Amino acid sequence: MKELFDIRRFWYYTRVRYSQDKFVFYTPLILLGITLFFIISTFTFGGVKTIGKGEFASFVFYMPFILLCALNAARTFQPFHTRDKGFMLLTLPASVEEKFLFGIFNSVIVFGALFIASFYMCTWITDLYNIEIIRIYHYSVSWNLWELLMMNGSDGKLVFPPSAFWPYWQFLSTLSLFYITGSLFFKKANILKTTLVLMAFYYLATAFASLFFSYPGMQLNMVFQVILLQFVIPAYSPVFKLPAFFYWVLVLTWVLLLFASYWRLKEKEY
Amino acid sequence: MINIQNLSFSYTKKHPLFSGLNLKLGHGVIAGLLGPNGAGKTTLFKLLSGLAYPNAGVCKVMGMESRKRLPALLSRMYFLPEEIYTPLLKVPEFVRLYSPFYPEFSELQFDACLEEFGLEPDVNMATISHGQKKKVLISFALATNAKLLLLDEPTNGLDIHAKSRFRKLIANAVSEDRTILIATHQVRDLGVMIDPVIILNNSELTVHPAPPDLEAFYLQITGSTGDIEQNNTPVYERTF
Repeated sequence: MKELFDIRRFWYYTRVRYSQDKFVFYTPLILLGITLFFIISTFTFGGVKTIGKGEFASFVFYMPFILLCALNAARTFQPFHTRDKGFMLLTLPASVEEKFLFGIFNSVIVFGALFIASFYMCTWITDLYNIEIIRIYHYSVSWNLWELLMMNGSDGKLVFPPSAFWPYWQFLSTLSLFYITGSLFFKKANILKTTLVLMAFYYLATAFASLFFSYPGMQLNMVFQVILLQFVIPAYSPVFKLPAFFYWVLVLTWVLLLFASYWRLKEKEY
Repeated sequence: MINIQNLSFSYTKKHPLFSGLNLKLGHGVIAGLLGPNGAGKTTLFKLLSGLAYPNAGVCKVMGMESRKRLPALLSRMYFLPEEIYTPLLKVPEFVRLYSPFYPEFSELQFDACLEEFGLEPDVNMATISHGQKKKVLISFALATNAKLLLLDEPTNGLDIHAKSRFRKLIANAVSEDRTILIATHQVRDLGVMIDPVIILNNSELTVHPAPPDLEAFYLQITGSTGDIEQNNTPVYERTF
């Protein structure tokens, strides 16, 4: 078992990566700081106290974080594409599992925590706690057991933060996994190529859902939420009645992405 | 230490680089790996360190398959490639970060090697030359006390004095349970210290005891003259 994972080795490897690839890891953090500054200053000092309906709020709050999340995940394994750095990283005495887990740890856990903390900080400082973007999750329905347990939502208030935290994290982890996988498969322009694959995946899934379930009133946007927010479906959506099958398709996608990226790293040669 | 059996490897399907390669190398030797350009010396090192996978056959180091890249194996071997990467850190920081991976790493030994090369122990790797970076990495490689050292063209980029110090350090570093494998073109730099000599030529690997005149021997075996640095000694140091 220690051959696969050893917490001390993982810690050593984490230290090495964060120290030697400062540019890779700190750029998204600096950009995150700048984003926070702009959002907070706009809504606090700029006199803007309401941001209207959900779409605009989504744009303001989500877009910068989505871009940074993609940027961060896409760069986690980038040094492996450089010959001399790749030699050093692959021959460093840590297991492939530890090297792979570091990618997940950095993209999903560390950046995920920062993402959510930033989001809550923004809403707290700007006094926009009850904006539509948060409220939407209180009306959401999911087949996810934990979310069903945590979800209280009918009064539109944030009852317990994890109920809102969970969908963000799901969203971020799925997106990160896409970009992690992309960064291991595409040597050049991996962000662009992964985005194209992601879009293709989205449209295929949408088309599949439209054809297979034949919901007459279903809009692409609703399916978009199903795909990207992963399992979280607004109650007012016509997609609400989609069977749990769709949920498992998405779970399978998640598992496949994990497996594909792990396999790619394990089989990496020079 | 090294056990290669029927190893085949190719970068492209049409042109196999190795086919049915065999090699057994024991402990306590400084072996030289010689061969013309493109013979596959670096590839052999990559196969031994798990950076490339054989198409067929066995490639084991210390009884472990190198393609598995097991930490137990990687912590007991060190591969110093020809094109080195050095993080832009100060040397003490570099040692603090990388040495814990190697259980037998000796800071005293590392400092002694740096001193031998004439480097300050707190030098910043962002500001030193390629040759100096190589000296730091050679010192680090020796201080890991790894049982197998794979050094690919280690003297490239080193000045004459450093080459001489390198020879001294390598000669002191070998022990009964330690094997050092050096791939090089610069036969003159290392000729006196390597034994045995492994020649990689035309997809064949042959092991020979060190001959008195390594350079002549190599030329005779490979039938080439173009790949060895015939005269890398500066004019002012040559004796006519």
